[in-house]
Amino acid sequence: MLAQSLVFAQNDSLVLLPAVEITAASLRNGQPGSFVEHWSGVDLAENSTQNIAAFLQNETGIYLKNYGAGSLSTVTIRGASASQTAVLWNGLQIQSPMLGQLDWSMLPVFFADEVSMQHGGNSAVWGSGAVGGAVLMENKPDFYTKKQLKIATGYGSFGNWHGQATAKFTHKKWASSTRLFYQKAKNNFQYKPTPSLPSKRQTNAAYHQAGLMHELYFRPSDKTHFGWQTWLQKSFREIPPTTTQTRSEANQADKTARTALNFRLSKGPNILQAKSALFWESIHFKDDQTRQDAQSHFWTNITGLDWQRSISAKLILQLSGNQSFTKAFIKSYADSSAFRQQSAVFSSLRYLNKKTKVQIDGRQELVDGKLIPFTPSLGVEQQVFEAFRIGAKICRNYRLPTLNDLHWQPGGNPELRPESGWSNEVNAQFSFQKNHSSLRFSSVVFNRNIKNWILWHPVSGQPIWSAANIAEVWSRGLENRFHFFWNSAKWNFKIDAGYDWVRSTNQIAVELPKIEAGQQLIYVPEHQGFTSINIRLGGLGLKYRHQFIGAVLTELGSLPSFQTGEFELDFEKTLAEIDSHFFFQIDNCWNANYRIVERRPMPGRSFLIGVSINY
Amino acid sequence: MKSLNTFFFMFASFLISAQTIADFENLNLVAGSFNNDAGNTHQFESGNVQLPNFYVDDPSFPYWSGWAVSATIDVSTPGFGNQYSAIPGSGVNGSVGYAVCYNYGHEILRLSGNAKGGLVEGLYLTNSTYAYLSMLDGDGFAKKFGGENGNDPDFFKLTIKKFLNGQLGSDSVEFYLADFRSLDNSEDYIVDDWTFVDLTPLGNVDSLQFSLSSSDVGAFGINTPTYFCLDNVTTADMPSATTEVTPSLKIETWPNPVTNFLKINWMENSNATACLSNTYGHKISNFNLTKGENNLDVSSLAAGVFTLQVTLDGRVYSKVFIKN
Repeated sequence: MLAQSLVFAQNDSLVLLPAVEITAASLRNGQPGSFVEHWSGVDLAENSTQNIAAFLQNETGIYLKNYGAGSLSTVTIRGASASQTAVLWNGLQIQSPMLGQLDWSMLPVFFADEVSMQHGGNSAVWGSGAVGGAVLMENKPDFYTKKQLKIATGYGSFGNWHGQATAKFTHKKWASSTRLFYQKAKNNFQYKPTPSLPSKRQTNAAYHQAGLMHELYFRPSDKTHFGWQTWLQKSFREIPPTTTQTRSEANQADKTARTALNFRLSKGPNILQAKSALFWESIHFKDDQTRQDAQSHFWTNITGLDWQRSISAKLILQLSGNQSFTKAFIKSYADSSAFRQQSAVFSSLRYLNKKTKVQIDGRQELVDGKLIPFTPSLGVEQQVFEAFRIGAKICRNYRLPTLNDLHWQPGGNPELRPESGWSNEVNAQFSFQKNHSSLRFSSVVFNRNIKNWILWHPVSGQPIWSAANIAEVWSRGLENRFHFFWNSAKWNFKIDAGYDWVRSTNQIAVELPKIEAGQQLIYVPEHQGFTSINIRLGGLGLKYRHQFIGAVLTELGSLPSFQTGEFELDFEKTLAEIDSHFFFQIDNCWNANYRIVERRPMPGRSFLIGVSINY
Repeated sequence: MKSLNTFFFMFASFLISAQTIADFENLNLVAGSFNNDAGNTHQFESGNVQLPNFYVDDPSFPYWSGWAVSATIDVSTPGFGNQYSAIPGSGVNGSVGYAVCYNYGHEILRLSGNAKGGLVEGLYLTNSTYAYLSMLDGDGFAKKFGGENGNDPDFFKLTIKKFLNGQLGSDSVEFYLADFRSLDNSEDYIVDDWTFVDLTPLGNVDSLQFSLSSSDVGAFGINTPTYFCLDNVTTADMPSATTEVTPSLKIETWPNPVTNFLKINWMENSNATACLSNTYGHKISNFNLTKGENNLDVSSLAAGVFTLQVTLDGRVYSKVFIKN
């Protein structure tokens, strides 16, 4: 099992997790007083055809702003903007420096061994962007599986087909893992523009994606570890017309290459880690109809060093430093390029005893020669009695302006300041475990104020819009989670549920874009809930997930609330040392007619059937 | 009776007025070309009509607003890249040149020479190809008119008002560039040919103000591309009613365009209040004018189009100037 210090970790599994290496947890993970959810092993394997955004939407309370299957997907956590969520791959931020956000449809669950979601501000730990929360994708070396070949394929509605292959090979001090996937869909679903109208078939919505992830690990001794991960991915997607558009011929091609080297040395109470990574991404948008052809790409290099020392059994210290360079290229920048250099130092001190954990963090960052205000955080956690734990956290958060905000011509504003503010939260968890059952209930109350919120607005006297620090946003809310698990020799039963209430309001009226003071941010639902029931009898499993998304304000008005359900039946069988797994899935099983984004239709009921074989 | 009155009015106008038609052919545009940069004059001139132009030669993305003149003929390419074409594919009656308005707030058409203060008998209007195809088919930002079920009461309306002696008139002429408001969808239309619009109901004018409105509007303003095209503006050289009941204010302003100080020579005996507003009509500041030369520091204003308005004893002076 994983070593972890997560506060509200979800570690129930229906079958044994694959063994992975035990490592000392970084103080960056699982800060006391913060709400963290964690998935690994079977949880991820069962959802390996999804992207991480869809997975997290099913599992927890993020709001996924999805333009349709295979299309752009962004997320909102705790009422923050899409660019206020940090996404980290093995501890390295991978958001686009040009947009400040990530297209989550390009993050396959299949490429992660562990996924964590840290709710709430965490800029002291992860730096810019970790305002609403942070999502961590981790790869873990597997020195225990000598040889493994796993192949999976699935076929579904609207020409959906996917294939995946994993090959693992371990020899003495070396471990290698290679993952490949390909996915395509015509995505030509039918939808009803309004209930009284005949169905229309979606057009120009096909997509395909392909990806390769390779990991190579070398462990010359128990104390020394080298790792090299490479992630290559490309996608091509047509951009479908809106419901009020006759046709579209637009498409977009994305390419991504990420590679990272890391080294870890453990000696006595000390752990030294070094990382260096190089990222490259390109986007090519094309529309023959309007004769548009726009290309952009960027390079990022990140180098980091961590030193962690257990000063005593109750005190751990971590010191870190990292340096990153980014250069982005697009015709819309002056000189067609822009550059950013960031240097940061981070320190953390954790005190822990049987009942109490306290952690203080601090971060100082230098961006293009300018100091970002010092960013501290403090988290505490107290085990009041065996089944009841409370925690609290306060931290400062910030998000740097994107390169587009700074350098786009016309309208980019080089004088922009970072969005910044404070967040605080209080949480409580009741958990009970006895024999074959466990029960857990947790609740979090949070509050966050962000000033210098960046908006693009019209420039007086000129026909252009420009970026400015003109808004203030106050976010507050409540997150509740319920979990029950019971098993016997033959049966497993699990139920999870959650309800989030989020008010995220602009505090300053803005003329254009038109925003009233006290108005909820667009595309932030005030109410959101989900529940999932999982029953397993031997090799046969049955799962049902239901979600409710409250009404949202949009740039055109509002969209009503909706509910969707997802049903899955699966069967596992081992024959001649070959594990096989069959599944049948119905998405949107109640055939709800809903929209997440204005004028963007979503598919009705759809089916997916698949099999995976593990040698 | 109304028709009879209109007949006599038109007949009378014909008798007492010579006409000048601003058809933009004097700009010698070559078919397929356009000009969105009027240079140092910041206006295009044809006949007795002046069309203000705002242009910034940004190295990455030159941008403009107000008026451009065009002879482009593309009636099939949708999108922003085809923003200078008129949907009929030419000017009125197959002529080469016409004017295109990118309406960013309120745009002005000024009369000059003998036409100033007189009647604008009418002008021809049509949709730009960009706006027309956007309303016909929708795009990633704006809706197809009629909406998902074809029944949405959409409209794209141009409102024309007049300035006379610096005072904005309350009367207006409205012209629907697209109108889907009828319950009978067969009556829905998007203007695709040059259409004559009679402006004689506005009476005598110094300048005209054009404003666009649309049913497709959201938090970011109008989604429909705010463009229209103009040709053959017919002005009366000898105004039919040139007698000014109210004497105009004695004031001079210069230079235009201005960089640092706008000089205002106020020749009335009484002090007055002046108001500076931007292109949206939003007030920037009020200040007092005293007799003699007044210097208004405009150095801190962003480059753009601004309006200076002075009111005294019910008389109004209004001057549009460009800040470099």
